[in-house]
Amino acid sequence: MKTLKLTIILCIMTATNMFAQSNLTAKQIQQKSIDATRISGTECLNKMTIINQKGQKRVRQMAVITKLYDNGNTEKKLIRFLAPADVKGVGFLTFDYKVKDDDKWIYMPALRKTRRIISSENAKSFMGSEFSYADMTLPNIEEYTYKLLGEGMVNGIACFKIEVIPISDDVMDANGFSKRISFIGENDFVLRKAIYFDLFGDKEKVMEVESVVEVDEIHHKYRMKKVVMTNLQNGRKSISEIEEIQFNPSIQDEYFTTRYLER
Amino acid sequence: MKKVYILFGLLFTSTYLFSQSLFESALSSTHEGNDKSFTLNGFIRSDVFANETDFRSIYAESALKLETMKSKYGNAFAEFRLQKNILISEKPVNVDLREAYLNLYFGKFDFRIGQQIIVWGRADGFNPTNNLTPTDFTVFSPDEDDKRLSNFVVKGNYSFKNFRLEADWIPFYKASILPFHTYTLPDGVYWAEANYPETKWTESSYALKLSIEKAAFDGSLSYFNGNNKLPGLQMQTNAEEENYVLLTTHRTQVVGADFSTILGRYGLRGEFAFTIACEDEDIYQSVPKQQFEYTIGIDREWGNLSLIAQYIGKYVFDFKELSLQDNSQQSQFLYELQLWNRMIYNQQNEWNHSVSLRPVLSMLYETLSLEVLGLYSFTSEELFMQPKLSYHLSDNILFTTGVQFYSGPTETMFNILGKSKNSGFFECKISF
Repeated sequence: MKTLKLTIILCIMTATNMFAQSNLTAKQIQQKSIDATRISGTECLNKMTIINQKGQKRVRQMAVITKLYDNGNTEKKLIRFLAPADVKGVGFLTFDYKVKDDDKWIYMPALRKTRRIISSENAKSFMGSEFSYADMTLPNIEEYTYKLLGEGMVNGIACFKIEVIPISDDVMDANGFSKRISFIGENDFVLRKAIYFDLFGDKEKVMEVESVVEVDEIHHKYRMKKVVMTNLQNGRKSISEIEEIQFNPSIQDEYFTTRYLER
Repeated sequence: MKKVYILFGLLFTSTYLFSQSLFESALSSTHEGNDKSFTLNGFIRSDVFANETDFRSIYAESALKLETMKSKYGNAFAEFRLQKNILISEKPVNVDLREAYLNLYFGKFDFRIGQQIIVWGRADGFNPTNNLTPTDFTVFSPDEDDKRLSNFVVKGNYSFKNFRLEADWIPFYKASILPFHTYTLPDGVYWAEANYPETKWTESSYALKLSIEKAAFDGSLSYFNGNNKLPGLQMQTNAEEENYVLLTTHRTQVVGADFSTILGRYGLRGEFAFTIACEDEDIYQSVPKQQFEYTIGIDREWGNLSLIAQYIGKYVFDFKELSLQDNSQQSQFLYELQLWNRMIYNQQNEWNHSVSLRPVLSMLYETLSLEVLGLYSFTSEELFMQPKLSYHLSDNILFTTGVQFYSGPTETMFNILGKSKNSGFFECKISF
C-alpha cells in the first residue's frame, strides 16, 4: 500500500514537472540550458582532436579553469595549452558576460606579453578546430530569437527541439551561422545536439554531445564531457573531450588575471 | 661564465614542493602519471636568406628549452641555441644561452631572476617604452623575437587589487647590435674597443612600471633610468693624436605610458614615451636629444582577416640641422659621425611621422597564414616591408617563406639596413 502511494506521488510529481516544462517557451528552455552549465567553479583537463578529410589527426591538450562572478552573470575562464609544442604555453583569459561583449586576452610565448583581443569575431575557428570561439563561450540570449519546433530523441534522450536565429546580420556574421536547430534534454536541459546552418542557409555543421557529466550534484549543473563537431561541407571533424574535471567553487581569483596568464 | 654555472645549479635544484589543484598539477610534476621533474622542448630549423645575387645567411639551428615543472613557489627555465652558419667559416658552431632564469612566487610577489628578455609596450611591434633588453639588428630570422637579446635582470612584481607594480634591476649593460660592418672609416681613423659602463651599482639600470588591469581597460605608467640600449659612435683622440672611433652608450631616463581597450568592434592601443638624455650633447657626437615618441593604433578583425594599423610619431626637442664647421677632414668626419648617430637614434628630423600596417590572413583552419608587416615614414621616406607566408604541414612542421625589404634615401638607417639585409627567405622548422 505504501509502495503504491509512493508510486502515485512520484507519477503526479513527474507529470506536474512535465506539464510545467511543456509550458516553457523556447527562450525559457534556452535560458535553462545556459543555466544548467553555469557552474560556480571548475577545473578540468581537455583534449581536442582535430581530424581532417584524410583522417589525419592533430591533438591539442589544455587545462581550463572557470569561475562565476556577479551572481552568475559573468563567467571567467582561463585556458592554458599544454601540448603540442608549437602551442604550449599559449593562454586565453575570457570574461564571459551575459549581456555584453566579452573581454578577452591572449598570451603568446613568442610575443612575451599579454594582448587584449577583439571579442566580437566569434565565428572564426578555435585553434584550427571545427569549434568556433562562439562555441567556447555562453551565448548572449538576447541576440537570438527562439522557436519551439517540438520534441525529438537524441541517443535515447527526450529533447526539446528549438530553432535559434540571430536577431541581426551583425550577430549572424559575428557568430558564423544563420540558423541553429538545438536539441535540449527535457530533464537536465543540457544541449545534446545542434545543427548549424551557414550564412547562405545551407546545413554546415552538426554538434553531437556523446556524454555529459554532472559536476555540481547539489545544484544539478553539468558539463558536456565529449562533444563531436562534424563539418558536413568539408568532412572535417573535431572532438572535444574532458579527460578530468573537478568541481571547485573556491578557485582563487588571482588565476583570472593577466599576471597569472604570463606565468 | 660563473653566472651561467650558478644558474645551471639553481635550475636543477628547483623542485616541486606541494600537491596542488587539478589545474596547477597539470602544469606541474604532481599530476597523476607525470613523474618527470622537467620538460624538454625546442625546435630544429634550417634557414636560407638570399637576394638575386648572393646568399645573405644560411644556417641550421637547434633550440633546447628546458623547464622544470611548476611548483607553488616557482620553477626554472633555460633555452640553449646551437647555430651553424655555413657562410661564417671561422666560427664552427655558435652556442648561445638565450635565456636562463628562476621564477619565484611568494603570495602577491613574483620574481624572475636571471638571463631573460623583457618586452614592454602595448603597441604592435614599435614600442617606445620597450627599453629594457636590447636588439640584434643583424640577425636573419623570419621571427621578430629572434632579434631580441637577453640580459641579466632581477625582476619583481607586486600585485594588489587591479594593479601590478613591476621593478627591474639590470646590473650589466648589454648593447643592441647594429650593422656597423658596412661603415668604412677614413684613413688615419681606427676602431677602438667599445666604452661601455662598468659593472658597478652606480652604472646599473633600473625601471618601474605600474600597470592597471581592468576588464574594459588596461594600461601602465613606466619609468626607466639606465643606459640606452642603442650604442652611439664617438670619436676620441689619444696622446699620440691618433683618432679612433668607439661605441658608447648614454645614461637616459624614459617616462612612459601605454593603454589598450576595445571600442565596439575595434581594439584601440596607445603608447607614449618621453626620453631625457642625462649627458651634455656638446661633449660628444653621440648623445641622443630629448624626444617624445607616440604610437596610436587600431585593430579590427573580419573573420579570418585581422588588421593592425598604427600611426607612429616622434618629436625631437631643440632640434638643429647639422652643419659643417669647416672643410677640414676632421670636421667632415665629425659631421659624418653626428649624422650616423642621428640615424641610430632616429633623430634626423624634428618631427617624424610614420604608419605601420600588419594585415594577417589565416586560412585552412589556421594551417596557412599570410602576414604583411609594413612601415613607412612620411618624413624620411624610409620603407620596411616583410610579407611572410607560413604553412603548418603538421602540428610540429612549419614552412615559412617571405621577403624582408628595407629602403630609404642615402644617409638613412633603412638604406644601410637594405644593403645588408634585403633578401628573400625560406625556413623549415620542426618543433618538439
